[in-house]
Amino acid sequence: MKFICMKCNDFMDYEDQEKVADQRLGLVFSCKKCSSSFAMVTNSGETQLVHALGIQIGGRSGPAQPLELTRDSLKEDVKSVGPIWTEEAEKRILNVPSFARQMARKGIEDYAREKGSREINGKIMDEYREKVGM
Amino acid sequence: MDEDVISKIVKDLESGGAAPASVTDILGQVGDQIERVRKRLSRISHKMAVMSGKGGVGKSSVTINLALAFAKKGFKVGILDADISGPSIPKMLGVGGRTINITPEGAMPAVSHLGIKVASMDLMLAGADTPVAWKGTWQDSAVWRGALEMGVIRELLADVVWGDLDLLLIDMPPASSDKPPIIANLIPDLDGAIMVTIPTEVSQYIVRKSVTFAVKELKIPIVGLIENMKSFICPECGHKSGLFSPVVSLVEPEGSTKETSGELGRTMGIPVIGEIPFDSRMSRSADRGLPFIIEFPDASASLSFISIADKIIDQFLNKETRQ
Ligand SMILES: Nc1ncnc2c1ncn2[C@@H]1O[C@H](COP(=O)(O)OP(=O)(O)OP(=O)(O)O)[C@@H](O)[C@H]1O
Ligand SMILES: [Mg+2]
Ligand SMILES: [Zn+2]
Repeated sequence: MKFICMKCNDFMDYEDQEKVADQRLGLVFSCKKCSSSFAMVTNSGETQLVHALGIQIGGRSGPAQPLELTRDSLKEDVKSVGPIWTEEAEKRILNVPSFARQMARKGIEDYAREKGSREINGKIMDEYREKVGM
Repeated sequence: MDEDVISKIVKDLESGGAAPASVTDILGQVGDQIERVRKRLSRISHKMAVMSGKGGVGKSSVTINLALAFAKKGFKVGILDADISGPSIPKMLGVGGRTINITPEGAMPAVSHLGIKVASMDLMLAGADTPVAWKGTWQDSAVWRGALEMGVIRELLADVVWGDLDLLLIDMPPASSDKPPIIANLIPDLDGAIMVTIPTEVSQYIVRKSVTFAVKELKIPIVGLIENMKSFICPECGHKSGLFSPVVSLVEPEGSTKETSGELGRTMGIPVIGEIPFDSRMSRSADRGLPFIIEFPDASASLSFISIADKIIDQFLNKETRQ
């Protein structure tokens, strides 16, 4: 979509955006020749549809972050801050009977956090097992 | 504004020449999205979608057990759960409580039995029973939801650290709409679609509609048809019998009303690549997160999954890609 200044017969530049109200954006365009400008206001549906397509109005400020659209769009917070499980740890946790597995995962993650470890590996699992006497 | 000027500007726009880059640069952003998917998937040798015309025919069960059958043969396999509003794969594979962790390289998939990598909406929900709920007041808009779900699938393809895989299986949402075939268009170099059906005429009729759509409109090759719950094997005596005897057709299929899916496959030039018997232990396995083929490797249904994997390997998967 392009806007054209009818006085100067030239393209107008996108200048700025501001949040006019909840989920409404005002997009400001101006002509570089005569410096006249106008603003277009989107309704919340338009704003959200563009967002749903993963398009950032006004262009990106930086590279896309992993799963940013999904994480931004979910109502409840994404559980993305947990420690990282090594493949070995992933394999070992599968040996825990399924009814107890979710609890075990949480216990181990809590333990790792306590120890300030960002990674769940065999060593952390051993320590945890020792601690809870599993 | 005179017409010459307008036509000049339109020409410029079309040629991309004098037009200044739009600040939002929609095409550029979409191009980046496509490029990110392409780059991530370039390390995956084969991609296949698992589809069905109807919900509840066993698509997810087929996806996980078939994935494990490939893994048993030494393939590196991933599963993308493209059922955004009703994700079920992680729970069935015993990685339900797992979180997706974000690293600078991307999101780490869950790793299940035999090293199968899994990405699903389920791994991003706050709790085990949290429903998928989106921010904003546009939840009820089908267009908006559809656009967002496509965006989520695109991110699951592009942003998950899949690493090098021989095969990625994509469990499509049920095709009550024509969403799945469209999703299939998001995936570059899709090898084809595996269609799952059950032997009722209604299910076949619907499968045929989605097959036609996939083949004709989207030019997605069909890998083959899997007939699920085709027969019942008595656990006591091993006697095999048909499960769905005469059914009353709810939807009148075009032409013949008495097709078996074998005939359906033949009439449309689609090979039937296998049938899976009904086994009552299948849903218990899924509930416990211990996949059927792992728990009962010698059961008739498990052997069917292995034989289907063999056929697909033979016909579609380049053996050189195996590590
Ligand atoms: N061969 C089989 N024998 C016995 N039960 C089966 C078989 N295949 C699938 N089931 C059961 O049927 C139910 C539906 O299967 P599944 O969830 O795999 O279907 P789906 O097509 O993925 O469904 P949805 O459309 O909801 O995603 C499950 O309870 C599953 O355990
Ligand atoms: Mg399913
Ligand atoms: Zn001007």
